Order: sequence, then C-alpha cells, then structure tokens
Amino acid sequence: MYFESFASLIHMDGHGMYVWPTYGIGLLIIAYNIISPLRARKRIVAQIQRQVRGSQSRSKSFSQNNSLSQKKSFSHKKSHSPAADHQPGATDDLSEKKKAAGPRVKVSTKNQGVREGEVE
Amino acid sequence: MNWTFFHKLGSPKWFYEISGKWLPWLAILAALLMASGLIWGLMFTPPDYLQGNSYRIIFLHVPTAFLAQAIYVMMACAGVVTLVWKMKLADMALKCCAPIGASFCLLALVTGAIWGKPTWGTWWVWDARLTSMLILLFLYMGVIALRGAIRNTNTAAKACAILTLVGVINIPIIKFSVQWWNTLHQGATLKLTEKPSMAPEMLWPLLISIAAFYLFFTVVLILRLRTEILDRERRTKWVHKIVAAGAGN
Amino acid sequence: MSAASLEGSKAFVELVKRDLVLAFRTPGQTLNPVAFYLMVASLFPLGIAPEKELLSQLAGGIVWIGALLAVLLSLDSLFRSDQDDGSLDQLLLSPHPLPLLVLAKISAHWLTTGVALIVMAPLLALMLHLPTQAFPALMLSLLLGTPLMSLAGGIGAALTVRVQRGGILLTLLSLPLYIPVLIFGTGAVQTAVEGMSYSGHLLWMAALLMLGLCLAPLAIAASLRIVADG
Repeated sequence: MYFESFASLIHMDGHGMYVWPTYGIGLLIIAYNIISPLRARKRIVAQIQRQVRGSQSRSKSFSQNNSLSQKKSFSHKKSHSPAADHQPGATDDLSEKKKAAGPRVKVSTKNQGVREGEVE
Repeated sequence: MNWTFFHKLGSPKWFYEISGKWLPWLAILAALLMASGLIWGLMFTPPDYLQGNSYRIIFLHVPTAFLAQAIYVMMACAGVVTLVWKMKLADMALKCCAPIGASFCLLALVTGAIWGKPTWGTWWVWDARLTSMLILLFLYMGVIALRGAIRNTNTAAKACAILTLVGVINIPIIKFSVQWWNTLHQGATLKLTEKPSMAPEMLWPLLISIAAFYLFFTVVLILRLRTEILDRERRTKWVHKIVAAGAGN
Repeated sequence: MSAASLEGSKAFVELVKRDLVLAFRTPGQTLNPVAFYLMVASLFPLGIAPEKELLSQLAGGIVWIGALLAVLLSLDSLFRSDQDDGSLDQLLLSPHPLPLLVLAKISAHWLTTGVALIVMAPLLALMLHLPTQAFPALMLSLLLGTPLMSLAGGIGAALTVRVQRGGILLTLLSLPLYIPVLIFGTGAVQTAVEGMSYSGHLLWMAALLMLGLCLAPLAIAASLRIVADG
C-alpha cells in the first residue's frame, strides 16, 4: 500500500476529490450496464408469459366453440392471413394484437414505414 | 471447407444455449479481474512523479476509451454480416452493442475531462483525443436514434448497418482531421501525457483493467443478447418452454 | 458511348431539369435556406459582440457554420416531397441505375442551395469583417464543401425519409460526417487570413469530394431501397 492511512487514501494529496468521484461515476455506469439488461429481461419474459397464457386460453375457448366452420388463425402464429382481420369474431384478436408487443403484424396502416401485414 | 459451423453461429437458439453455459464463468472472471485491476491501481501503485495521484483515473479512462472504439468497429463488422449474410444474430448484436458502447464512450469522456482538471487545469480541453471521442459519441447516438425511429425490425436492421458502416469509414477521416486541427491550435502549455513509457508497476494493473473491461463488455453483451433473442424469437416453441420454466437465467 | 449509357445520361439530365423546374416554381421555399443563412450569420454579432477585431477573428468560422446549418436545413426537402407524392417509388422502379438518379437529385439540390450560399457568402463575410485576403479561400472552400455536404447529408436524408418528423434525426446523423468538412473549410479560411498558402486544405477537401462523389450515391441508393422495402 502506498498510503499510510485510510485518511491519506481518501485525500490522495489533494487529488482525491478527482479520483474518487471519477470512480464513483465509473461504478454507476458499470451498474447501469448490469441492471439495465436484467430489468429488460424481466420485462420481456413477463410479456411473453402473458402472451403465451393469452393464446393458450384463447385456443382452449375456440376449440370449445367447434371451429370447423370458421376460417383458421385463432392463434397468433397464423395471423398473416387476411381473413383473420375481417372476421367478426376476431375483434378480440385485433385488440389483443394491439396490446401485445408482437412485432410481426401491425394492424395500423398509417405511414410509419411499416409494410408488413398491411391488409388494404 | 465446411461452412455449417459458421451458419450455426448465426442461430439464435444455439447461441442462447451456449451463452447460458458460459455466462456464469465469464461473469465471475470479469468481476475478479475488474476488482483486482482497479483496487491494485487505486491503492497499490506508486504515485506518478509528474501527475501525482490523479493519474489513477487512467485505469478507468484507457480501458473504456479502447472499448468505446473497439465496440464501434465490432458494430461495423456486425453490420457487414447483417447486410451480406443477413444473419439475425448479427443485427441483434449490433443493436445490443450500441448502448454499451455509448455508455463507455460517455465514461471515457467524463473520466478524461475530470483527469484534465488537475493535469491541465481545465475541465474540458479540445485536444484531439477528447474531440474524436466526442464525435464517436455522436455516431453512437445516431445509430441508437435511428434504431428507435424505424419501426420495422428488418428495415431498422439494414438501415442501422448502413449507418454504422458509413460511420466507420468516417472515423479515420475524423481522427486525422481533428488531430491535424488540434496540432494547429494546440496551446504551448498543453502537454499530452497520455501514454509515456509506463513503469511496470503501473502497466500491469492497466493491462488487467483493460482485460477486465473487455470481459465485462462480453458479459453485458451476452446478457442483452439473450433478452433480445427471447424478444425476437417469442413465437418459437423453445422460447415458450424457457419462459414457461420461469425466467431463471 | 453505348446506348445504355446514353440513356443513363439523358435520364440524369432530365431529372436535374425536373428538380430545378420544381425548385423555381416555389422560389420562396428555395430561398429559405439563404434567408436562414443571412439571419444566422447576423445572430453571432448580436449574441457575442459587434467589435470589428473580435468578429474578424470569428468571421471564417461563422460564415462556414452558417452555410453548414443552412445545408442541413435544406436536406429535409431532398427526398421528402418525392416520397410524399410517390415519385420516389417511381425512381426506385426505374430501369436506370439508382445511384445515377440519386446523383442527379443531389446535383439539383446543390445547384439550388449550395450555389446560392456560395453567392451570399462574400456579403456575409463583409458584414462580419473577414479580412479581404481570405475571400478567395472562403469561396473556394465553400465551392468544394457545399457539394460534399449535400452528398454526405443525402445519406441521412435517405435513411430518414420515411420516418415521421425525421428532420432532427437527419441532423443528428449528418453532423459527424460534416465535422471533417468544417475543419478543413475553416482551416483554409484561417490560413488565408494569416497570409499563408491554403492549397493543402483545398486539396484535402477535393479528395473528400471525390470520395463522396464515388461512394455517397451508392450508400444513398442502398439506403433508399432498404427503407422502401420496410
């Protein structure tokens, strides 16, 4: 140790007030880089869990309603087909799609640079 | 030559599984190296005869400056892979590197500025390195802003790849012009004591810190990438299985 | 010349003519950057100090920064009006090479904006008390720098053409590309003020301009195709 006492370690011959805040800021940035991905992961996992639960309950209720006469696509996976959006019974799908953050299909057709899934 | 291994590298599922196994070890190693490098540098190295104790900032400043530049180059490589081979994982890597690189760039600037105060007597100085690092921060901010502005994932991927490539071509031009501009305008009192031949007692903790930060970057990148993979592959069965099993790790 | 390249150069000329006609139909809109230039250059003495000595030291930088900002402002209209009425999609579908058409649009943009700025520059330099020996350097550096800024800014304009309110993002993307141009341009003017030879700066700018002429249209064309598919 090149410092005799703890006090001299903090003081660092007058340079302590530059060194220690610098290391403090460094610690903040390191902490941000650790915490931010962990929080994002929790958020995304919760989102996906909600989505999976939602589509599972919906597939259960649809299978109960005997879907032979209706067109397909009661699960999100098949929602590219245009018929899905025009079905009267598919309004749940639309609002669910708007809530879920699934990137594949956007029902908005505003000019936001989104071309996928436009059903004009 | 069998190129399957190269294309396997681009599989998000494979990367997720492999990184899950490596992550704990890398994290432990990064933590150990960073603690030892920084504590060694802070407490167990002699003060510099020119700068006194303020030079200890170097153990934060140099690794983050190196990394800020290296991460941008890595983003450019990821951009090339995205445009040429259209690997999704490459684009995910580009997206995840950007905030990490920007935060390191910011840290390098702040530590450099604070180091400048006792050394040069002023908080900010327009020397070549600080100015180039500031422009690098602008480049990072541009990529992050463009990613946020374009909704469609594929379009955003290719657009950010092009922007990163344009930026990487620009970096040598910027470096040269700023350096040349600075040598014209540099005051006579400034002395750039960035990298004199270092005494070995100071060099070793510096090298350890650099290695620690590279490892830290790898760990944080893997963390972000894993979340990004879950996000983009959310419709696949393997993701549903993982999510159903609980968000362990 | 082969038939194809003849077609290409005819297309180039036609596109330039079309853009120039469109620009002259709305002279108010075309002159906006020039008015902005004048006003921004006036802001500096108002904001700092009207002393002759101080201003003459800053004059080269002020004139150059004003030109840079004026070009930045005018870039938004490079592709946006074509995007809005669908002619950008027509350009993308045309059989002529897209980089060539892009170069035509940038040339027209420079002819309407950059040239006007170059013409205005001596007036501003007079107002800001730039020493007269630096005037040729100022004009030459702007002559080389404004097309370069149109080219480099075109990349950002192409990337943000379909982004809502992409104007500020365009500025953010273009500024790092403009910094070397600014450094060399103002360097030339400052060197001329000190009475020394500024040919090195101009040669560097010319080299960057050649690089931009070759590479920027390719990057812009690629960007236009990418954001069009999205």
